[in-house]
Amino acid sequence: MEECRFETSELQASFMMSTPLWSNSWILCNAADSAGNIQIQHVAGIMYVALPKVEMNQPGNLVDVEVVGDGLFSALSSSLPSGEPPLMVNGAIRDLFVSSGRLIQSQITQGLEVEETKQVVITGHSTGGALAALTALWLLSQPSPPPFRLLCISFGSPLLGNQSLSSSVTRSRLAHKFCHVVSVHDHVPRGNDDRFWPFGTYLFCSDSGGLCLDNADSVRGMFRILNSTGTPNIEEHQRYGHYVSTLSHQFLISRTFRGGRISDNSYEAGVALAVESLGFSNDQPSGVSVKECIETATTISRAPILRSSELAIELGNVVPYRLEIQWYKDSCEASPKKLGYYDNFKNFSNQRELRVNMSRAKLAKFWDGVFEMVEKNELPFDFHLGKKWVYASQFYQLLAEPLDIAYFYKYTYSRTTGHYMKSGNRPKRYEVIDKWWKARGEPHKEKRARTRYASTTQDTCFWAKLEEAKECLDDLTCESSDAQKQTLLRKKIYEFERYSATLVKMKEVSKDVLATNSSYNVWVKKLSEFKSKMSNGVIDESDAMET
Amino acid sequence: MAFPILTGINDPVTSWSWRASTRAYSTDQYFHKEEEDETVIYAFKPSFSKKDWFAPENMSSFGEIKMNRDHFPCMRSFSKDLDATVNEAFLKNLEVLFSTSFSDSVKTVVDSRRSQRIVFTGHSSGGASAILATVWYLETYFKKQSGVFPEPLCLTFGAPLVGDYVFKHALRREDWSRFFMNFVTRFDIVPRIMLAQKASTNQTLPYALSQLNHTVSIQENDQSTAGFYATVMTDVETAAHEASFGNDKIMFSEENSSHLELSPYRSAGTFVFSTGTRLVSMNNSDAILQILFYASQSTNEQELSQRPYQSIRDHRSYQEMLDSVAMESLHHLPLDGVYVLSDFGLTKHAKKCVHAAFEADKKRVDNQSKIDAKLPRIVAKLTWIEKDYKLRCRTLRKGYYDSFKESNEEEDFIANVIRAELAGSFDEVLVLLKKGQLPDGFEGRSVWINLATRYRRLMEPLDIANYHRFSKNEDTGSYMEKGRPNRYKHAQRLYEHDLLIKAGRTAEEIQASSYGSFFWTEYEELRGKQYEYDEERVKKLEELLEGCIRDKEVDDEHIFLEGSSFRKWWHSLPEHHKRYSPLQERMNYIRDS
Repeated sequence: MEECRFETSELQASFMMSTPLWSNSWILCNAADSAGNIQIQHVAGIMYVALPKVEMNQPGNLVDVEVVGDGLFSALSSSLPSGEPPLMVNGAIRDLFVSSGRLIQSQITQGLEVEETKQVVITGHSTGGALAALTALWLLSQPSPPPFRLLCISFGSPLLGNQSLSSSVTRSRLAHKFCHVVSVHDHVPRGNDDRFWPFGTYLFCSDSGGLCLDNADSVRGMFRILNSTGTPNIEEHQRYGHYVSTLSHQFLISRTFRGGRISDNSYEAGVALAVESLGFSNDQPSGVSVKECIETATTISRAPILRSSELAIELGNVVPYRLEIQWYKDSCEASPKKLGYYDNFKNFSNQRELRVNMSRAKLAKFWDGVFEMVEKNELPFDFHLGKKWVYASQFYQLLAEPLDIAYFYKYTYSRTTGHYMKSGNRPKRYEVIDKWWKARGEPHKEKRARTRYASTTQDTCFWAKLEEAKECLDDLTCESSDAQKQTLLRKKIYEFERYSATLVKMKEVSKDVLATNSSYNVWVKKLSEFKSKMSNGVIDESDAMET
Repeated sequence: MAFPILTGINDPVTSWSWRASTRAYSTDQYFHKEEEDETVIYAFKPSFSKKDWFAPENMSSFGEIKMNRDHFPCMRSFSKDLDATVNEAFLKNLEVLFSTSFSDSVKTVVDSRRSQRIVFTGHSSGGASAILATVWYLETYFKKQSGVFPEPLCLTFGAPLVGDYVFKHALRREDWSRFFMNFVTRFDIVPRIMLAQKASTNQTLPYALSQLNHTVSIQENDQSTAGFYATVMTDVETAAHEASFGNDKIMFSEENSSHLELSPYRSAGTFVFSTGTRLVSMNNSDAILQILFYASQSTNEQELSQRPYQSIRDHRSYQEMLDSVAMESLHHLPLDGVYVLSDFGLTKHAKKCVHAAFEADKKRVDNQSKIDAKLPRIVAKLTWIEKDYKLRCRTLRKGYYDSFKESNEEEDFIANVIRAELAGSFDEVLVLLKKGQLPDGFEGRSVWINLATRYRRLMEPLDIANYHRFSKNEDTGSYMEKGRPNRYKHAQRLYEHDLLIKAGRTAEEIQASSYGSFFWTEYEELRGKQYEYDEERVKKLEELLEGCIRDKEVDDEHIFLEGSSFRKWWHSLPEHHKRYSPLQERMNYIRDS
């Protein structure tokens, strides 16, 4: 395995077990279980919230996460791609949440008032942990994220939801906020209902140590191995206190490798040690399965990092294509034809246009590829937060979308396909770029008035809107029958007229829009001719407002 | 990798330094000086009171504070533009030293030119003082004229960690790291203390410190010491594991780390660990961190119960180390292979972690070779701009700045592609530097500083032209404030640093330097304005241009060509201004092509 110099699943577990998060969480869980109510404690700048476990007579069934009309998890549900089954959770846990959620929230709010903190750990044992996870999900899926960093640590908790929930958590980039501590002998967290699906990081622990797995498939793989080997131990579900105390002091004594021969390759040696940390032997078939499980998990978790560094290089390689379009735009503006690059590209198909079209297509392919990877979660979880990508995509869109619109109206558009802005016609990549740009979280800054026209038109769909307005004006001049339709057309024309005038006035458009022969100027002229032809000034605000 | 200082490890100066360090215990001053032949030794007195380890008024979790850039201009990271962090109490101890005759004493030694070598040494917190005193000496004397001032040597015995990652990085970048040698016995707790959170050892530290003092007898099987030991080691473990992740970003652990405050302190210079039978030296700070953790592990409960006592005792056993361990038995890592670590009781697992730290170093060297292999292509691109593109623009009688800004011709397009490609190359290096994926010395090399300066002077005007061509100053704000790419800021920091070190310019002189970037931005901003309102700025700009031409920041051949927009703008200024302008002569003279 290339580039894989280090096995990290065991290291992650050791790291976690050496931190105070691990022992402090458990101590409070224990207190919550004994007291039977929620416990809150501040330790070293972190607020710990422990939810007590509640005895349940029978395993809950999967139910829709949304209680009708509540919309509690709207942010999570809305990230669901069409066609995927709805988000489902354990009904018993949901009912518990519905009845106690508000109380928990008010307790947290009170706790935050006692001592200001930026870090909150929400934790629980058994069903308390599942409730903690659901509460954390709810806090994280609010329209405005909580004003603190949240981590959820559960101990021996049953699975919470279905596969849709699991992938939705991953897609919303929240998976790393969940750590589920699970004893290899405890049967409760594994359950026996295949419709339940894990999410977040699982810390499997045994008397010899622990290891972390952070993708659902690997966790399920590990469940299968554990199901096929050990006999479920009822006592085990109560032994987390034992694991927490022994494992957090385990580090003081070194662990020797029992398997005899050990590989010189440090990655392989690391995996072999990790296998032993769960009490398996590398010589047994079950140990071999664990080994494969760890290796697969490592490959899966490393792939995004490798892919994103490859992408960075590719991004550099496509820069010349963008510059080519930029240059085309500049030359069009300087040319005596007095047409902007949009009109030039739409109306001509010379050598130059063919070259520019190639660049347009190559850039589109590159960005489509990027967004496909984002969609499939093949890139690091914080990929879209990198300024570099947000700005690069924005620059690309500002320059290239007008050409995509031109291409659309040159070759694809017909009355049946509908306009560019109609859903399905606009390439999806631009919707993602819009979303990234809005989500970049830049503090709102005072916008200075422009003294010159922008280098690129700030509304990248300007030309598409113009094409629609053009059609409206044409229709209005030709047809004369349906009065209702005419009013509608006039309204649309009026709207575009006002919108474009504002844009021009604010200098939010680029020079190419205002080139003497640009289709925008042609339209403006046509409109005023039309207006003067109509003696009573048809396109009139009050008229348009009537509808 | 060479260890120049270690060739002298048999040097009697090591045991002499130790002797001086013990004598410093009984000085009523803060330091103790010895001199013999061509060597001067300054040994610093340790303190075992808590306030000298953690400054009482310091509010940060590890008692840390940023170093003052005016006093320690080299102690920072250029890529991150971050000053080094050190323990405030130790820095304060250095300040106390300056209230004594210490700095006068050093000055006398330096001025006398008799000494060939100046040694700073100390045991325990005295070692921390020695480290900071050495840094002070390097910044104050050595930096200015190496070769004239004697090389310092910093020998510490069981010293606590003093500075952070930036501190270590800066020392290595300046190639000063080789002057620092820290002796550490296997279980000594002191080099580990600073890895623990101040709050968690708050109660137990005063007692533990009292136990560390040479002059007090140690309590065996002491509960308080055992508690202190366990607390410190938990945090040492966390720090060691966290360092192991290196640049492998693991989301979950990142999330965990963000919930925790981890010690900023890292080792600097060479560490020489003693196993009781041999010495192992290394200068990879991540590997040192792993050893600090794993060498303390025990194999059974019996050993474990001994550790707290040993961790105190070992702090007091440097004399035994010097007596019993032959300096000949010194091993270097990674050269001699990690097998020598078996003496520390390191398991396979532990060795794996140490090994990974050395592998990361190799990777850094690899990255450097990869970048270096790309240099000829970078140079070729710069040369094309310098020769072909600029020449062509000159024949058109306008400067390359204006030609690029108008961008009418194919060549301008090519220049733009090159601009983007070079930006990519320099950005890539900056990213690697920020992530610590290049050797610390990378950017300190003259070859790099010169290339970055050449790139900045030649290409930044094109970026400024581009910025204003697309009116980004309206969207984003002025170039210097909002738009200037970090690659140029970084290149300028390197250039200024080079002036400070090599040309011996003072900080004030550097502050007053003229830069092309500033000239072009100011010009772009002024050209749209009315002379009457900005008379002063116009005059300043003209002065600035003189400085820029002198420092080769602006190409005077291009800027005064007939077609130059700067020339046209200047001619549009009112007559009364032009008559007294320092540029009048240049503007009236038209160069032949």
